[in-house]
Amino acid sequence: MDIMQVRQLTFIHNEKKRWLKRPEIFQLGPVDLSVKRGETIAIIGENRSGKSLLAKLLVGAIPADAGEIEINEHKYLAKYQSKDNKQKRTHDIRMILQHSNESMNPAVPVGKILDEPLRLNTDLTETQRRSLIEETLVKVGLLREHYHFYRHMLSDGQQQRVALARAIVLKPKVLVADEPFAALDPSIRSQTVNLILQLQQELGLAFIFISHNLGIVRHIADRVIVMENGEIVEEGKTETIFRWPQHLRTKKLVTAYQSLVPQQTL
Amino acid sequence: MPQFSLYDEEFHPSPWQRTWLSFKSSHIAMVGLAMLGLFVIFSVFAPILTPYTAIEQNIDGLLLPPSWLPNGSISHIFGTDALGRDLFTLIIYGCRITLGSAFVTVVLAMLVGVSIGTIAGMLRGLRSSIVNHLLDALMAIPTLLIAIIIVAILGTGLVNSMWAITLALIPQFVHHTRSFVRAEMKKEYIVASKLDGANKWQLFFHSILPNMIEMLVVQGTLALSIAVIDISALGFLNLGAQASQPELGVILADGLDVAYLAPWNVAVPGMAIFLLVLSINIVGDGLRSALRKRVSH
Repeated sequence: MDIMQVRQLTFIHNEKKRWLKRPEIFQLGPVDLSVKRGETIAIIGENRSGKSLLAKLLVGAIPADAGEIEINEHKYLAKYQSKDNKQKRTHDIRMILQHSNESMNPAVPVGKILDEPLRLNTDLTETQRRSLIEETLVKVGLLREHYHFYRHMLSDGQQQRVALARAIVLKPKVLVADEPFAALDPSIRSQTVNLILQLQQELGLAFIFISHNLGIVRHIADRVIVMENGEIVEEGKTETIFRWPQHLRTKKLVTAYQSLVPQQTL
Repeated sequence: MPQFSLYDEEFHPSPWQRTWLSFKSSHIAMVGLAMLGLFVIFSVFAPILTPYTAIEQNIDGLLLPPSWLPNGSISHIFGTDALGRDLFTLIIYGCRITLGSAFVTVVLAMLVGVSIGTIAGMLRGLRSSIVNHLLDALMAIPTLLIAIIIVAILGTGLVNSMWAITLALIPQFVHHTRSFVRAEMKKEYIVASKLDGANKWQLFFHSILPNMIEMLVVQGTLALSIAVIDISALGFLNLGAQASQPELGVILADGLDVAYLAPWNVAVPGMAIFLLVLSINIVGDGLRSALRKRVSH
């Protein structure tokens, strides 16, 4: 049962030649992708291989040049963002941005940050929103009183939790995360991983994440996508990719990872 | 997920309470606030607090010295001027006119400037840079000079000088708002808000404006002190408020005629202008650091 279908998603970055500047052309895709309900997909690859860009295209933070995205039986042409579509899209697919620190507004308390998606996308009354926000805060392992906290009062791990709360408060079908575990220390990292796995079970969330940490990828991902130069070069079940990598890039990544872990785990 | 239940904190200070708490912790800012508060109270309740009216002349007591001098009397605390008017009353009415008109001027300039600046900051390309370069050129000229030019066109008078100063203050609000909005629009939390489905209007009100308050306070107090100085300067030069209106600059100019005979006629209004500007700047500075503490400590 596919909850999300991506067909021929393409993005072309074309900076025209300017005086004393080399023209810069980067093309992503065309990408085809299908996501099942409750599935976890990891996107790996080198820097500048277009991972973050793909994530942003999926949620619509950056408009694509061509292609089609179907989420929960609503079709979007990825190129255009009509108002009506945008609201449904916000409802169905949510993103955790790469730097949870910078993605929180420093002058707005946590409660107001979490209130924004609800206010703009639902018809709930103020008291309903308030109780939903408090419920979500508790769900991600914060306290109800964090409603009144500002960004500078929270640690990195707590900020990450707020970013997660912001993403799940609308009860989306698909959650896209850009390196959600990168800045966290190991204990907070495993807490966050467990939290996401638990939420996935509770909400039936499909989870697409970008990571450089192949240990986590191997641990939680059902499928892995390998990207290079804006293209998907390999795609498959996690165990298959890790045991029998086909593409050169995948082989390099996997051997680099395996040189770090004891051999008996293979 | 918590395994244990905790009591909630009973008191959560609101953003403004937080600002007030950190503002209170600075003694200098509190002194400034007390001073400014005194000026504001005197300005608002001038008719109740003054012993005489602004135009009342005491023919028997011209150029009476202030009460602390040997031949001064307590019935005229700051003495009288060359027309026998009570200087204390004049100063209070003067503060009322100067501070009041400066305040109106700054609010007007801020409203216009911030709206233009926001639009310019959200736009891109040619339109935005036209606004930018045009106004940057204007900002190079001192506001008083622009105001004098505008008064020369419009004619003298308090209202005309207020218009002139409003127009002269707008460019700096536009400039600061524009560069601030531009910088803010590039930040990650704007992307996050866009993903929440916010349009540009909502982005401005709920994401950018809360961050902008600190900048607005700094620019607003700066503009207020500039407006106070400019209005009294225009009054002093006989371009702004006319002699019939008790305005601090006008009182100072009147006092200058008898400066050797009765120096308090110059010293008292001069001191009033100085303290007014000083207290505005101190309060602005305290407010700025309090607002910054709210989001960083």
